[in-house]
Amino acid sequence: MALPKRIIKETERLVAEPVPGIQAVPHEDNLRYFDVSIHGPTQSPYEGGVFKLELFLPEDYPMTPPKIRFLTKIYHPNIDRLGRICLDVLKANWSPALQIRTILLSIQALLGAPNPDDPLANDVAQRWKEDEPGAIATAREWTQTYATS
Amino acid sequence: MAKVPRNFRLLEELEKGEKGQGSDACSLGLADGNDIMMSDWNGTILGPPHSVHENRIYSLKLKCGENYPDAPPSVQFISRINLPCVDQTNGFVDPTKLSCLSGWKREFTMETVLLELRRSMASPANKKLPQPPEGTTF
Amino acid sequence: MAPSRSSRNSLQSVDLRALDYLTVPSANLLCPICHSPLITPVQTRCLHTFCSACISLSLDRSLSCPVDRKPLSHDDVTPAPIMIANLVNDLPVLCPNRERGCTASCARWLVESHVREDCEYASVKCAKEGCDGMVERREAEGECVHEEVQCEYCEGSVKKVDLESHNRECPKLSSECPHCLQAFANPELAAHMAECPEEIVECSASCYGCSYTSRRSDIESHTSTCHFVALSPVLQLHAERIATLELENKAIRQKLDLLVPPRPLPTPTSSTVTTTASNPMSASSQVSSTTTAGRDMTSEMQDYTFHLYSEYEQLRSDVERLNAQIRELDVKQDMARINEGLRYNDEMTGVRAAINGLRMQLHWLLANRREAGTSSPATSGNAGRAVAGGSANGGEIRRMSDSARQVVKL
Repeated sequence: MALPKRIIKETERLVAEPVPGIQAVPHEDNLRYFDVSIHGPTQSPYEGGVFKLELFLPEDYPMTPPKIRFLTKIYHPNIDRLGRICLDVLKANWSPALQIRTILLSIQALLGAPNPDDPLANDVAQRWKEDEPGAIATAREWTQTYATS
Repeated sequence: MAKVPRNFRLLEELEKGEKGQGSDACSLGLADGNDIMMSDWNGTILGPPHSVHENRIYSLKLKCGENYPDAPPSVQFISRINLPCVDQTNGFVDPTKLSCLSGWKREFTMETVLLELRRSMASPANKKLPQPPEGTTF
Repeated sequence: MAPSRSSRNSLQSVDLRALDYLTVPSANLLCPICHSPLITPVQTRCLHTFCSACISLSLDRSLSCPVDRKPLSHDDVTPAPIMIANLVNDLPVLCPNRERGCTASCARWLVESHVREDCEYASVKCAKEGCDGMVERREAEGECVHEEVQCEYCEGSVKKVDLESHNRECPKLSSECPHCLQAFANPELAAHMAECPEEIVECSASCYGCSYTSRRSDIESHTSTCHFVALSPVLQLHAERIATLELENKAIRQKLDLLVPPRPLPTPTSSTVTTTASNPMSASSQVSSTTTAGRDMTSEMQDYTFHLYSEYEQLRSDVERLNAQIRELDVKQDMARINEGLRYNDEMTGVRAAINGLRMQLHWLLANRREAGTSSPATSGNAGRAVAGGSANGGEIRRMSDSARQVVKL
């Protein structure tokens, strides 16, 4: 089946009016599969890092949320070792009125405001609660090591 | 139909295993939980009943290359086993001798391979083959 | 007689959501779900507007409004005001057969009838009797194009409709090379294209920065004078070396990361003590001894870090091995538990069957006894004994049935 009009429109808009600090480019051979990069927000331990992600729009998008995960290693209480993201709007709180750009913005916001009470990476969340300055220092280190080229 | 890219397909297979939705007769897990590319997997097959394999547990290594799932994974037994499709020197499964590998389709998963191997263990031709002692490895 | 033109309707379906609009529609008329101008607009209790199909698909998955997340059910959705429907239905759209050449545009509500009845480019059934092929309406009057004909050059059989594309590939025909404009037989064209002397090609050192391009026949003369080409073996060597160095660097950096922050240095007291003890007199030798001590210290530190590193590696491999073993044990235990469970299940069904059998027997006995009890007073012989026996048996039976009921309950 041809690509739904909505996906074409979203892709065109992502290219024509990119969100500052966020880039999303579809693969030539699979227009539902995007290479994404997100700049770490300022004033966060991820500042200065560029994080690579991959995003896939499943068959019944926008009725089901896009699938998305980090490809760059990141130290964050809501992101696990395989880059999977714990974010309500990507799961139960998805709404078909949301879009790729709103989701990417939520992920950027999640980098700026980690939520250790709703964790995915348990050990990281534990550390975040017990020793926040230490955890933030590690997050900064990881950003230096993995997210700067 | 949307074509699910390699990594999301592997995540689906991983989550199926994590949630216990897979078959009871075999199991699958990542060999290295930090490997963002999810290439190396460990599998186990519970020997089928009414065969020489009954109550044995076989462990295997699977490797999903760049082109998975367009190309099949490579499969290698760690536990020693005597089966016609398994190379007796290193445990590798000969892809030409296992129908799901030789006729690989994109919809097939690693579980397909494990279940097919188990079926092959239980086939009338193989279920009485003499087996090396339990617990030995390649 | 072929059916008349007007009655030959196109069966081509029109996907309203895939239409292109002549003007950019107002964002207020777009469905928040499919992002297209609303199709059969409906309104929710919370006053948001969607396409009927979109909101019903969404409600199938989650009973809330996609825009404000307020609870919502299928019954809370009603048709939107006619005015909204009219606004979107009046939007001018381009014919979906635009790619085939139709330049028509019309209001959206007319587009389906345009395709069904008027569009010259819509697919209709071929006019020839018995032919199942489809043709564009403008060609429907001509002869059937689905007959096989012989290619006049290669003698293969080709459908008329495919003749044009066949001519581009027919091995007996020739096509023009786009670069030198000479004609070549089709099978040889690809080979020629790879070496056409007229094609504009880049200098072979373009990857090192040479921007020179010229016809392939002239590139030779450039190559002999191009500085980039002359340097390219060296440049390539450098590129390779840089790549390996980068790799090495990465490995080294990783190792360094493992070692930093460094452990507290072992104090080199022993070496200084021995040197001062062996040579406590002259000042000059003292200086030399401290330098040797320094050297000792660095080499000792290196030994120490190497030792630590190897120990760390060993520990890591130990932990990995243990992890693997634990995982294996887990699996084994799981499997054992499953087996055990199956066995218990079997046993349970066996026991249940036995109990059922017993119950059946008991029922049969009970019925038998009751029958014997009611019929006994009528019999002429020892009635009193029979009644006494019957009542005694009755008591016994009640007890037995009680216990049986208990077993069943368990």
